[in-house]
Amino acid sequence: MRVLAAMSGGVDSAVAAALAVDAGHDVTGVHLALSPNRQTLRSGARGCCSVEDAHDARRVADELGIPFYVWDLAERFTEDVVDDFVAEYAAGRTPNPCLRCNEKIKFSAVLDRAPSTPSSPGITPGWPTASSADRSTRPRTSPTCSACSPPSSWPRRGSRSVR
Amino acid sequence: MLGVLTAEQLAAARFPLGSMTKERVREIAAERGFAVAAKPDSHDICFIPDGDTRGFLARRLGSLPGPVVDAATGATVGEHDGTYGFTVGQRKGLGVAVGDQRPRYVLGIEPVSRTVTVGTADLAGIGEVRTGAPTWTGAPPALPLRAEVQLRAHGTPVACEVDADGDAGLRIVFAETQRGVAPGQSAVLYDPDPRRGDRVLGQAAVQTAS
Repeated sequence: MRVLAAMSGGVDSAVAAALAVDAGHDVTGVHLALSPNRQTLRSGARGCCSVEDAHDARRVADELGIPFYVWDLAERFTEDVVDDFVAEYAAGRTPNPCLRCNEKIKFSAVLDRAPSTPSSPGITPGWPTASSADRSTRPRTSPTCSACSPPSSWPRRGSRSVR
Repeated sequence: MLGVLTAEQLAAARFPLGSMTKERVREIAAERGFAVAAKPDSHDICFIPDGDTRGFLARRLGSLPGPVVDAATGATVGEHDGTYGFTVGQRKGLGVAVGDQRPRYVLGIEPVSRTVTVGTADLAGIGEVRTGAPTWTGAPPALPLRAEVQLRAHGTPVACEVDADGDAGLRIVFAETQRGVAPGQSAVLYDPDPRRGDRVLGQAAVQTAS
């Protein structure tokens, strides 16, 4: 199966991509560049999606021997996640930007741009999913901040242009 | 985190880590010599790297001062620079002075009048929420429905009953009183199954709590 591995540059998505390769899939790594100011967005454990994170993801992809692409979704992220976050607080509500990002960016953007070939690929975000009653394994935070768009030579679903 | 996804999106997704622990993920990364094996986890909000959410919002929205009002007496017990600095259920950093020394919680936020209402713990409990339109991870379930609901990122799910409410939303009634449920937050619904693991049914954004 052809698989897009969304690689944030963190350890979870690195291992998820490695396991997809181990499973025999035809894996392509993709990193989502989401910040309009990418140089400024990491200080220690805070922030994500910096140039440093893209480099970390690329190094893992190189070690795995898989193709790797960086997709710039910063404009879409700003509109759908950051501006929404500010508007929600301005309206007296308390938004959850990580859920919003999953909904509007990570999954939808990746699938929007995924190839429309009959054997459509899976995507592998670097999350654990709970498969037991152990609630501590429920994915509750956003350990990866990654999404993707396909290599330019791949057909795209619909007519949406890639920024 | 998966409650917002559609069945179509989930059908296309694979989760190779499954139920693997973080420790095991780091072990595998170290065995493979990945440089990111010991990289710190990201946390907080990625686009606010200094962690100062109130400061970030103040730069975007400016100073919008208003009163902090005590729910029991109607008295103004403090001032604030913007309702965006508060979350329903918040206790710390309210900057209020009340004679009885009992802790106050944010009960409500009214951005038009710029009023933040606070009250004591006994006033902060809620028994139900009404939500906007839900997203379901599979076929919409038959309502009413007994389920569990998680109301905040690190909250413990509680038993609840879910029913249709109005045009498109849900009414979720809790088995136990809850506190600090903020409008805008997602109520994530689970179908508990101790043998096979809890199933994420979907989610809906909280509109009102009572």
